[in-house]
This record gives sequence, structure tokens and C-alpha cells, in this order.
Amino acid sequence: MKQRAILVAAWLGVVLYAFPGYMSFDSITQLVQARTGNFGLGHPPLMGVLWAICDAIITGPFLMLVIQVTCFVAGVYLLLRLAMSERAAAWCTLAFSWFPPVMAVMAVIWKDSQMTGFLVLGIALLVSDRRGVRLGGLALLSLATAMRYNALAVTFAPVVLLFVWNPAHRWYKRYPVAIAAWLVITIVPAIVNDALVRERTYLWHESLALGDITGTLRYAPDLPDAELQAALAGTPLRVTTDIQQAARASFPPDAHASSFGTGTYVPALWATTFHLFDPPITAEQRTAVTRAWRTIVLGHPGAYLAYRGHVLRERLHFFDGKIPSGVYASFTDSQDRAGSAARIGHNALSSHLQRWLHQAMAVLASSWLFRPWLYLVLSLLALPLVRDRRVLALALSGIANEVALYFLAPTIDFRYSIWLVVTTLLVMASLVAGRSGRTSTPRTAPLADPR
Amino acid sequence: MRRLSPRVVLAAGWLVAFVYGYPGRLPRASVELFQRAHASHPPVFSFVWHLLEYVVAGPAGMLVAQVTLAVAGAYAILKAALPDERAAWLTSLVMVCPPVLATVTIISPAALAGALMLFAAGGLMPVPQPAATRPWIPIGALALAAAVHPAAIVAALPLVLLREPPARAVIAWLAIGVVAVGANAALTHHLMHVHVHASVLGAPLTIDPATASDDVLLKLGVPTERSHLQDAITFVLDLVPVLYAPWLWLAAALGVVWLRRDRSALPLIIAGIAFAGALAVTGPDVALPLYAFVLVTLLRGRS
Repeated sequence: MKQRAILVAAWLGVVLYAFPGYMSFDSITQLVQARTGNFGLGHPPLMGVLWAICDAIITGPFLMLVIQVTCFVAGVYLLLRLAMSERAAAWCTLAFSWFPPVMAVMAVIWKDSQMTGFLVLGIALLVSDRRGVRLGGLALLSLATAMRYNALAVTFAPVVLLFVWNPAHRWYKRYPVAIAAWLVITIVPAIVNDALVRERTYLWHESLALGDITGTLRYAPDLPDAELQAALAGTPLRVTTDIQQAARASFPPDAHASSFGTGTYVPALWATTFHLFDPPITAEQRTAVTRAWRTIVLGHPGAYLAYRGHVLRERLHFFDGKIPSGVYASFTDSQDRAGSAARIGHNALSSHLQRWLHQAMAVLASSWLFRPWLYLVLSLLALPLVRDRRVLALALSGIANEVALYFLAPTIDFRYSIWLVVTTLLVMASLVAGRSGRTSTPRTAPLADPR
Repeated sequence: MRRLSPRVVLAAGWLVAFVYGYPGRLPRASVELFQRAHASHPPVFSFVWHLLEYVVAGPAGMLVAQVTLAVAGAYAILKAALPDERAAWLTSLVMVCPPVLATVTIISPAALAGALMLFAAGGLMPVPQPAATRPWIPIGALALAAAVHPAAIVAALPLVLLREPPARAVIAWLAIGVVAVGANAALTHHLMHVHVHASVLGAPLTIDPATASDDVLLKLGVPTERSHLQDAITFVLDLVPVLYAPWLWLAAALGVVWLRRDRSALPLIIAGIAFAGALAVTGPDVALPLYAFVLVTLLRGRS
């Protein structure tokens, strides 16, 4: 089989599994925003613009699926080709594309999947020997940054370690230029996203900030009500006495809290949070939430880190017996199939092939393959063995994703860790190829220069 | 300027038809077939659809099959008389020609039969240096076309004559007819089973065909929204309705033959006319072979 045929098979396998593209509540909301132009900050407006363009050509999720899968397959192949023969790279690309944890996420139209596609292709182009291609890689990394907030941590190592404006530059010129490039690709999408927002929302004030305060209070030393009343003054606090006890109490999850996903610790935390606070609705309340977050979270860093540690443990499924399914496979919002289909004028049914694959995925969805800690441990173990700058950039990028999520992940969705899974696969394959001496001729002049 | 390879040009033509037609334009009869409430279609058509649904649910698989067959057939017919690159460009031109584009993207027995006839004709075209040919592939495609739509039975004979001498052609044609009728007869009982218990489209549905609406389409997994690009192409296609008039194409067909005296293309024209003529008996439907065969004959020039 020729490389091209193998790559087409890799692409086709994912597309046929997902055709015309799975969509969750978030995806449906984004498609509606793309059609109305009424962008908020809850979802990246630039992804909405991209989807609006795709929707003008073929309605629904299909072209978005094509974009993310094409970028992913192309990027993985180009990166692997630097570490092994073209044929081996093509077969590995097929294996990685069909790898259940990867395929499960890349089949859904999510910002995580789009980010992953743009990241992997962007990094692959970054090591080209042609400056125009390298700049194209930067543009893709910028687009990836526009998709998810944690991408700014993810792009740092690849851009700083791999981007070269001019191969003749020595390190004292090369690294400042690379850092400047990283700043540009980080700041520009933030500005563009902000400019596109029509309906300003305050997600941080309404969710993560309140969760951080509640979580920190759980592990902070006992604090008197008077001190907490002062710290929380002006916030939409629902409890006025025994505040810290309320933060440590457990409540049955209500409808609002259950929208924060699966698990035990995290949904319980959100249930407590929304018993403790109402969402802030005025500017004064949001200012008070910001002030309270600074006072309580920054005032008790140990308690904050302990609470985030619990979220991390549950997200990575450390020591978990049974884990929730990491696979989502619904063509419309699985909570409201008919309603969401009517909202967007789109629906699809599963083919026989897809039903077989769903059954296979259902078996694997709660297996060890979907435990992110495994990939994190592999990445950390691989780190000392890495001798290649490109592989190092990938490994650091995957780990940086988890570090960013340590502070920012509001739920324990498996999709958040997709970048760690992808980088771990790429790093392990590169290491194995390097050990077995199957490295192809490097096509990256800038990296050949040890400066 | 770098020249595009024939493969890229063909892919572009294929893509235009796919994007315009996606996920497959469904006439009312096909929607009713979707709902398994319509018994007038040849069972083989439902069976083909059923098979494709193992891979892709809904009309998209049929669209891919029809467009691919049409592109492959038109290219083979043109390539028999022209250089590869020119044949590829002209194939894409044929695909975007309004009557072809508008009909090849409709998911119906006549459209599938038309696409299969194009594919078969491509395989049966006499070429200067006949390679190791496999006539059973185009003959099989013709048998499938005939099974999918009865009008193709009539039109199959001139196409078989493209390759085979008259006596063998008549035998092959009779075999095509027998296979087509036999396949439908054999499948009828089986297909009733498919209609009632399995699916052409997933779980059995019990929807009144008279109320086919957006709700029904969505339940069948068919999007109800058309894209801006598709609307724009439809607007362009609707600008000159006379382009779809059968009399115009019949006149053009006769004119092409008379002016160019291209005897090798005569069977194509006759097949196109025969297919359109049979539609007068079976009922008004998509006359894709007439449009496509006239166009490719015109574009082949004097061969």
C-alpha cells in the first residue's frame, strides 16, 4: 500500500466513523452563534466565524469535521515523517488516527478537536525549512490559540523551541524573536475574539471564580463568619451564617450543577457552589466576586492548590475504579435530540458501520485507554530520554496543557486531555523510531543547526 | 503557471457536484421511499441504497456513488477520443453543465440508472488500442442500471453495440434484461422484509408520507437547511429553464449526429434518446443520460 493510500484510509476511517460529525450541546450553541453572528465569550467567536464560512458552503458540521480531521492526519504524518521512514510514518498516522481515545474526540465538533487539528499541523509546519511555511504554521497555532484558552500554554514550548525566523540567527536573537512570535500568536486571537463578541458574558465570574472560592474555603483553616462576610461583601452570597461549613457541606446535585459533567467530586463541588452563591448579575457583584477571589484564593494558596489537586485527580482518574465514558457519539445534543435538531435544521442517523463502531467504542470508553494519568506518566517518564528538540517541544507542550488545566479545568471531560494523549503518542513513536534507527533524513535545516 | 493534473481537475468537477448536491437532493418519491411507504420503485434501487447504508446512513452515500460513476464514465468516454488533460477539463465542464448538475445530484432510480449508464458507456467505448478489457464490468453496470430503472433496459442495447458485434450484443442485451427483471423479482420478497423489519435508514419509522415536512426529514436524518452556496448555484441553474427542455436536447442530439457524422458516438445518442423516450412510458423523470451523452458527444468532436 502506498503512503497516500494509507493516509487516505486514516482520514476516511475517522470521517466514516463520525460522518457527518457528532455535535454536543456546546457544538449546537456554536452553530447557532455561527448562523446568527451573535457571539459570546463562552465559545470562541473565531471558531464561529470559521463555522459560518463552512456552513455557507455545506450546512451543518461536515466541513468542520473535514477540516479538523484533515489537519490532524496531515500534521501527525508530517511530524512522524521527521522521525521515521515515510511508510512507517503513514502507518503510525493511521494507527494514531484510529486510536480510540483520539478518534472519540476528533469525531466531535468541539473547540478541543479544532485546537488539536490546528496545533498538530501548525507545529509540523513550524519545522519546515521554508519561512513562508513556518509563518503558515504560526498562523495555524494562532488559530489554535483562538479555539481554547489553555492553548497559550500549549504553544509556548513549540514556538520558543522550534520557530526560527532566520537560520543564521544565533541563540540570543533566535529566542527573543521566537518569544515575540509567541506573544503575537497569543495576543492577536484574543483581541480578534474579543472584537467579535456581540453578547458579553462573564463565565469566569459566574462559574470558575465561584467554584475556586468554594473549593478553597473547603480546605482553608477555620475562618470566622465575620471575616468571610467582609471578604465576600457584595457577592451574591446565599448563606450568611456558617459560611465555611456551607462550603464544606454536600448537597444533592441539582439541574444546574449536573450540567457540569460527570464524576463525583467535581459535580458535588458545583452543587455546593450554587447553594452558596447565586450567579452574579450586576457589574458591582462581579467586581465583588473578583475581590473575594483575590482575598480568599490568593490568601490561602495551600487550600486552593489542595482543592485543584482533587479536581486534577478526578480529571486524570488517578486511583479511580470505574470511570465515566470518554466517548460522545450523538449527531445532535444527546440531552435534547429532537429540539436541537429542529433548532439547527440538521440531523443524521447512524450507518450500520457506525453502529458497530459505537459498540466497540462503548466497550473501550471506560477502559484504561481513557485514563489521562497514564499518558501524563508516560510523558513524564519519556522526558529524560528525549534528545531531539522537536520531540522535547511536543512533550513539554502536552505536559503544559495539563498544567494549565490544573488551574482552569471546570469539569473532568476527557476531551480536555486530548492534546496530552496526542503528544504522548507522538513522543513515544519518535523515541521508539530513534532507538531503532529508523529516522529519516531531516528536512528541517533550522533544527539541524545546534545553535 | 503550473498545470493541473487530470486527477485534480476531475476532483474539482466531482467536488462541485458533491457540494451542490450534498447530502443528496431528495424528490418527494425518494422521501417516501425513505419512509418505506412507497412500493413503486424497483426493489434493486432500495437494495443498493440499503447496502450503501452499511457505510453511510442517509442519501449522502448514494450521492457519492452517482457523482463518482458519472465523472468516471464521462471521463472515460472523452478520454477515448481526447488527451487525458483535455478530457478531464471537459468532464468537469460536463458535470457543471446545468442539466447534468441538476439531475446527477437527485437521489432517484432514474438518476442512478443514468450515472450507471454513463459509467458503462465509458467502459464500452472503442479505444484505439484496446487494453486488457473487462467487458463484464460495464455490462454488469448496465444490468444494474436496467434493474434500477426499466428505461435503462431499452437504452442498454445501443451501448452494448459500442463494443460487441450485433449478434453478441443482442445476446448480452437479453441477458441484461433477464438479470434486471430476475434481480427485482428475486429481491421483491426479500425487500418486503427489508421494508417492514429492517431499514433503508435505521430504525423503522411510521410516518404518514402525506405529511413529509421538515420534522419528517429531520427524523429521517436528513438536514433541512441548504447552504448559501447551494442556494446561489440553484439560482444560477434556474436562470434558463429552457435548458432542461427535452425537445431541445433531442434536437441537439440529432444535430450533433448530422453535423459531425460521428458514427462512433451514434450509439450514445441513441441510448440517450431511448432512455428519454422510455421515460415517456414509465413517467416523467430525470433524463440524465440524454443530457450527458449529447454533451460528451458534442465535446468529443470529430473522432
